[in-house]
Amino acid sequence: MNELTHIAPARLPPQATFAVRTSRWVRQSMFPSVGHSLLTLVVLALLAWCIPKALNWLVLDATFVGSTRDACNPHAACWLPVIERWNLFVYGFYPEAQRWRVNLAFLLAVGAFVLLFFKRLDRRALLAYLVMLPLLMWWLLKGGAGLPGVSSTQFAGMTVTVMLGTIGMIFALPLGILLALGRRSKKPVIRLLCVLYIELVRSVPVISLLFMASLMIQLFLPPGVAFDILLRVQVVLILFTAAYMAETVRGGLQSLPKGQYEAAQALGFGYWKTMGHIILPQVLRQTIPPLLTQFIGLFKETTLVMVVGVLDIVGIASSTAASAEWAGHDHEIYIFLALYFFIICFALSRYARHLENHLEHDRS
Amino acid sequence: MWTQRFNRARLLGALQQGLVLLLVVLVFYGLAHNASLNLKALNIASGFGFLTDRAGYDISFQLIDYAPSDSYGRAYLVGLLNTLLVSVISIVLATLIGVLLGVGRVSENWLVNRLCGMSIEFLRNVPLVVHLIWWYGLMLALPSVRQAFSLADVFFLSNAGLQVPWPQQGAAVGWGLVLMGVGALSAIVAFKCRDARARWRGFTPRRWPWVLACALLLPMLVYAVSGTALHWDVPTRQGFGFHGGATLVPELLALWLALSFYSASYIAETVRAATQAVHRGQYEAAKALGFVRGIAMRQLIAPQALYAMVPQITNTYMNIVKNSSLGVVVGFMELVSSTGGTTLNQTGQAIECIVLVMATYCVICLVISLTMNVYNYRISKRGH
Repeated sequence: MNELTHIAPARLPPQATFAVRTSRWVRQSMFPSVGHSLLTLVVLALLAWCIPKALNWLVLDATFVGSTRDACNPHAACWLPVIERWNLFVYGFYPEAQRWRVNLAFLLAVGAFVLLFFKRLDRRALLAYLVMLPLLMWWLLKGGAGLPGVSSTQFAGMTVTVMLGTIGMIFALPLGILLALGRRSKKPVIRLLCVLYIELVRSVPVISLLFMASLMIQLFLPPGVAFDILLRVQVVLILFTAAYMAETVRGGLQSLPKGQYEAAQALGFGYWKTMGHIILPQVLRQTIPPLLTQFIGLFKETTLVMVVGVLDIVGIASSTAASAEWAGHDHEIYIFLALYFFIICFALSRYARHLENHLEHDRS
Repeated sequence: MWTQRFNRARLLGALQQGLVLLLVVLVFYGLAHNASLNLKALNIASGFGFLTDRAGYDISFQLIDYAPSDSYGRAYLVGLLNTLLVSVISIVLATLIGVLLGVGRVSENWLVNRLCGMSIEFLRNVPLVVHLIWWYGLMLALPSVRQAFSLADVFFLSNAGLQVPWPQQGAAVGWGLVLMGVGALSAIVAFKCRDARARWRGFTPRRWPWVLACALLLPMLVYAVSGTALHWDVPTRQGFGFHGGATLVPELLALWLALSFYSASYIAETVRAATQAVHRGQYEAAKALGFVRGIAMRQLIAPQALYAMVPQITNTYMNIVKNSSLGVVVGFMELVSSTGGTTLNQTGQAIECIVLVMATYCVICLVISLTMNVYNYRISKRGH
């Protein structure tokens, strides 16, 4: 009898030591079979060969201090063209005394993304901010009403990219929502017009639309009226993005269960009330991640404005690469450019994925 | 009461639509009116009559004969063919690289998986323009013609582009391609006929080798019977340049490589997403049946993933065609830079030129989406 009371205490399964776990992981994920082992070894050898070289060229032997190309190390990267022309890359030809306006505009644009992060924020506050942002940015950057005006020819560099991207996105959103609603409308004329617009815009390249902005829009305006090129490009980017956004929003509208529409109808809500109070708030919350992805696309697309003569950051970079002062350093300039876009777009795409995961988490 | 309200709603709806239509018509009328006034003031002709006028500009790369004395219409055709060429070769290369990267991204080898993931993220987060100007800079930084890299003294790579052997009789090659198509088609039709007669089609042997053999044999047979011999024009070094062969200009190479690598990242993402979207039970079932991972992926997972990939891949292909218009950045004479650029600047007929370019892209995109829809329909009918 007595033996039975001596029950061995419950024990956890033996915990493998760190070294054992590591070696197991390495074996499983890098050397699972002969073929994979060979592949891993080849890749490791390649990495061992090229990473030190790349590091040396990019950072260790590279030139960061100096003022002319004579200071450059001929066997490594020379970041002087970027460092020396940093202000040109960021502010373009913006008057030096007014640069605080550009900084403020950048801050306001970043603020929009930060606000999206706070889930508990009042929806109306966020909306008001988003509505005010493009107007405020345009006023800050272009001047007028108290601020000295800045001509469009002085716009260049990151200023152009950030302005076109942010303002384009925010104006395109309401237009895209309207187009998406129109496409699902029961009224045949409205549906047809919306479908025509969306499909037409989506099936032509952006460049042809930009050419349209720079060469064709003038012909359609009453004689004597002229917009400046920056505004025309901005309008085309808005109209273009709206068509793509309409499809994203339509996807969201379709994924909403039919019960929501029926419930609204049963409560006696009219069309706009149903949409404004019940459908769109749910759809928009769900479509924030794909809309952010779309913003990344627009941000990359703004680089095309260099084709119609607006000097964005790519335009500044290629003119720097072609200048006699920094000839022969185009690789460094393009690497900087690629990194600039990579960092911003990658961060945004990670952020979109984070929001998406949160949404999934909320739903389940 | 009910019918009355119903009628009122219908009436309101009709009124609303009529108003919208009226507004659109009015806007278009106003635009057209302005345009006619402006064109008259600027003294620009209208209509597509300019297509028969002498173009007078040179195009550095063309698939059909073209000289500056030819018409704008011919220049448009050259541009269209260049667009199609660069789109097709980019689609092929992008699919190859994309599938490779995508397969690497789902590999069980951690190192390969991560490296592929990093390359995909890098390629897709850098705008195409940056890819393009970087590749173009690289092409121009190649050694000069004198020190050109050569491969078996047949291909030469220099800053003047890639020299490749080119058949002397263009027409014979064209007919050969047509015959190839006829051969492949007849093999497929023959298989269809046999299928229709057979009562039970069980495990038939692979078909694509037969189709390929037919496609290759038919043109060879015709060449042999008709006594046509293809003469390849092989490039040779001569003085400061090359003699013979054809030159793939650096602009074309840069556009090709940039488009391929950029779009490959999208294809790779599609491949990864589609492979991971296949139900987990399928993987487990394959494992339970004792399939090796490689074979399971090829024979069980890939066919199912293919179905999920078609819409995304269609989208990417259409984007490749649309993005080929970036040739204008490096000065490659495709549709946008020939008709939308030089022709437009010379004739001043902005509306006609841009409408022509846009309409062409619309038609190309429509054809691609139709083809892919047919393919999608067929593989969805195959069933799992």
